[in-house]
This record gives sequence, C-alpha cells and structure tokens, in this order.
Amino acid sequence: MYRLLNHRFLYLIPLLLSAILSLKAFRLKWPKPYRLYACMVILSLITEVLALAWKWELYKWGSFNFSQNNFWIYNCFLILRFGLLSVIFNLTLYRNKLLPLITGIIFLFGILDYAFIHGPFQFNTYSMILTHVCIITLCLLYFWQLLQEPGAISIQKEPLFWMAISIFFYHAVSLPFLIMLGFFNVQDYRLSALFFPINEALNFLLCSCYLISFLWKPQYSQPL
Amino acid sequence: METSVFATSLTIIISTLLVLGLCTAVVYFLFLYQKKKFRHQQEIIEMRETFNHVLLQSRLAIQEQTLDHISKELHANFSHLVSLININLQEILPQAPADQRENILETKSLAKQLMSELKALSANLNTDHIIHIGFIKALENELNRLAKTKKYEVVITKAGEEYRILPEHEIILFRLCQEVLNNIVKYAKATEVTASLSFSKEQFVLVLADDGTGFNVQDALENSGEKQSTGLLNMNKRASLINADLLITSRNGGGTMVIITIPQPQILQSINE
Repeated sequence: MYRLLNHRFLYLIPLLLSAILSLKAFRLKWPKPYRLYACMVILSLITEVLALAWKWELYKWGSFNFSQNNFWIYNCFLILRFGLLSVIFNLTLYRNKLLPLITGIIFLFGILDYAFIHGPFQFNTYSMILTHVCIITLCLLYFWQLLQEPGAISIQKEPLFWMAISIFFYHAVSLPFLIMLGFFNVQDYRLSALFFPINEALNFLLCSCYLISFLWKPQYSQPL
Repeated sequence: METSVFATSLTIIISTLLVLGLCTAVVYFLFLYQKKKFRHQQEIIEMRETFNHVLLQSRLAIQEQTLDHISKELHANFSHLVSLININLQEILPQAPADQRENILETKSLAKQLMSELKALSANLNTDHIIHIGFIKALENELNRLAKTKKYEVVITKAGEEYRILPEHEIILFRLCQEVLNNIVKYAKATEVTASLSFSKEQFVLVLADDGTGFNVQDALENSGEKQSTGLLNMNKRASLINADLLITSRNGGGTMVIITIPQPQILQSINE
C-alpha cells in the first residue's frame, strides 16, 4: 500500500472520486451518452487498479508466474475506451453515416494490432496513433457543433464538454510524442523516458476534468 | 552525445508546452465565444419577454376599449330603446282591453328588469366606472349579482385597512376576478362562493373559493391547447402583468380556491382617509 504514496499515482485520487461521483449518472438516469461516459471512467479506474495489481502482485499469483509486463491490460483498455468514446460521440454529434464507419474500422484495426501486429505485450503504437487522431477529430467536431448550435448552453456546467476538453488535451499533447516514440527508442531510451512525467501530468489533468464534469449535470440547449 | 540528448529533451518539453498552450487557446476561445453567445441569447429572451409583455398590455388595452365601447352603447342606445318600449307600453295600457292589461303590465315589468340588468352590465364593462367606484366596490357588485340569482350563497370577508391600488392594476385585477367568477358560474356547480380580502402594506391577498365540483389544474393547463381554452392562461398572464402571484388549488369534488397575492402593492390611498 505504501507504494501508492508516490506522486506518480496522484492521478488516482481524482480518478477514484470521479468514478464514485459518476455513479449518479445511473442513479439519476442521465441520458445514454452520459451513462457510457460514467462507464468509461469506472473502466479507467478498474484498469489502473488491475494494471498496478498485476505489476506488483498478480503476475505471480498462485503457482503461475506470468510476465510482469502489464501492457496487455493498457492496450486492451485503450481499445475499449476508444470504442466507448466513439459511441458517446456518435450519439452526441449530429447524425453522420461516415462517422460510425470510420470509428468502426479504426476499432477493428485496434483489435488486429492488439492480436496480431504488435501483440498485447508491446505498446500498440499504430492503433494508438490512429485512435488519438480520431479522438482529437471527434473532439474538434464536438466543439464545432457547440459553436454551430442555434441554442446556447452553459458549457462550463456540461459534463460532456469537460470530458471532451480532458481527452482533447490528453490526446493532442501526447500525440506528437507517440508518433516520435519509435524514433526516440532507437536514438536514446532516456528520451522515451521523458514521456512518463508528461503522461503523469496529463493523466492528472484528465482525471481532474473527469471529476469536475461529474460535479455538474447535463445541460439542455435553450431554443431561441 | 549528452548535449544532444539534453537539447532534444528540451525541444520535446518546449514543443509539448507549445501544443498544450495551443490546446488551451482553442478551449479558451471556445469558452469565450460560447459565453458571448449565451449572453446574446439571454438578451434575446429578455427582449422577447418585454415584447410579449407590451403586446399583452396592448391587447388588454384594446379589449378594455372594446368593452368600454360596448358599455357605452348598452347605456346610450339599448337603454334608450328599452325606455321607449316602456313609454309605448305606458301609452298602450289605458286603451288596451282589460284581458290584455295584465300581459302589458308583465311586459312592462320585464322591460324594467331588462333595463336594470343592462345598467348593471354596462357598469361592469365600463372601465371608467370601475375606476370611479374602485376594485372592491366593483367586486362586491359582481358578487351581489351572483347572490341575486339565488343560486349561490355569497360570503365576503375583509381584513386590514382597505386601500386602493393603481387604477390600471385595479382594472386588470377586476377582469381577473370576473374570469374566476365566470368559471364558477359556467363549470363549478357551486352553492357557496367566498371572497376574502386581506389588506396590508406588505401584500394584498384575495382568495376566491367555491364549494363546487373542482377540477384537475395540471390537466386543465396541459389540455388547454387541445380544448382551445385560454381561460387559465389568460388569468396567469393578467396576474403577471400586475406582478401578482396566482395560485389555483382544486381537486375533483373538493371545490376550487384561487389565491391572488400582490406583494408590495402600490397603494394610492386608504379608503377610510
């Protein structure tokens, strides 16, 4: 337990709190996108706990002795999270036939990358870059939709807006690094190691935004 | 080699910060734009409300003018005609055969009754008359008319020192009460009507209650569009015009109570002064 008392795990506090608060989306029967968002937050918490537990204890559970590498958990989570985000955005954005098709293809590619191309024990950079680009695009489409809507909502009180901000920040900032990750690995491992503090800060920002989002409730556009 | 790693690390950190700054700028402008849009929308809503308020006021003014015109017509034209009928009957009466005299006398009496009804109706429709006698007296007249029908037992109670409010507010309040009383006559099947007036500096409260069949207020409001009934909506609009709170409580078989509260009424004068 004392191992958790490290600044690297600081993001777990807002994540845990947001997962608890997200339960109100089910209790108050918020619309489907918000409930899926709550599922995503809860899934994030479960993944983090499982990944840490695997790395520390679970890999040598019972008589088994698996690899300590927990990338298979994170890779799996990233595909699932992308799937959930795609559904959330497809439900929120104006109907577009192309959007579900593109996100569906990327989701399938993610599964292929996980199963065959990179495999579960390596960082699935191909699918990660693709999903990052797709998520950034979806966020920008969401922001564009907010600007185009005839009615106005108080966006600082809208949970989905906070979700979009958090994932936009996280993905947009980490994308250039992810693209260069292979190159850095070849050049010098210390350059790749720089990703950890950046990811740590972004993770904290992401989880804090999750927490803020669940302090509010869904806003409905006031028609003119 | 060390310098190269350091320089690349620095480049990575700076570019990460730059991207972060760029994202912040995007979100900041989004916030700014949305805030502006939100404020603009609020202004439009306020303007629309003001416009609707003015429109309603003009509509009521036109309505008042029409009622005033009808009242004057009733008083000048119709009353005059009834008077002529009465004079004619008076002239016919001595020459009429004995067996028809009773009928003529009966017709004369009916004409007299018609005359007094016309006068009362004319007075109730006449805005100037209502302003002249005041809301309380006008309401009492209306209730007395109800009592005269002998279908209703009317009870009027007053508390506090009576005062008068702005004439235009009195007119609106009186029309609102007429609407309530009209509803009682049309739908309530009541036997008792109670009017309670409470005067204080802080608020003026008028309660009109009946012991009739009652109705489901929520249903009536929701179905007003289907039934093309605007009574309740009009009452609410009239109340909002004089900044009054209108509360209607009713249940099936349990009578209806209409509570009109004017907080901080603009008192013109005390009646006892």
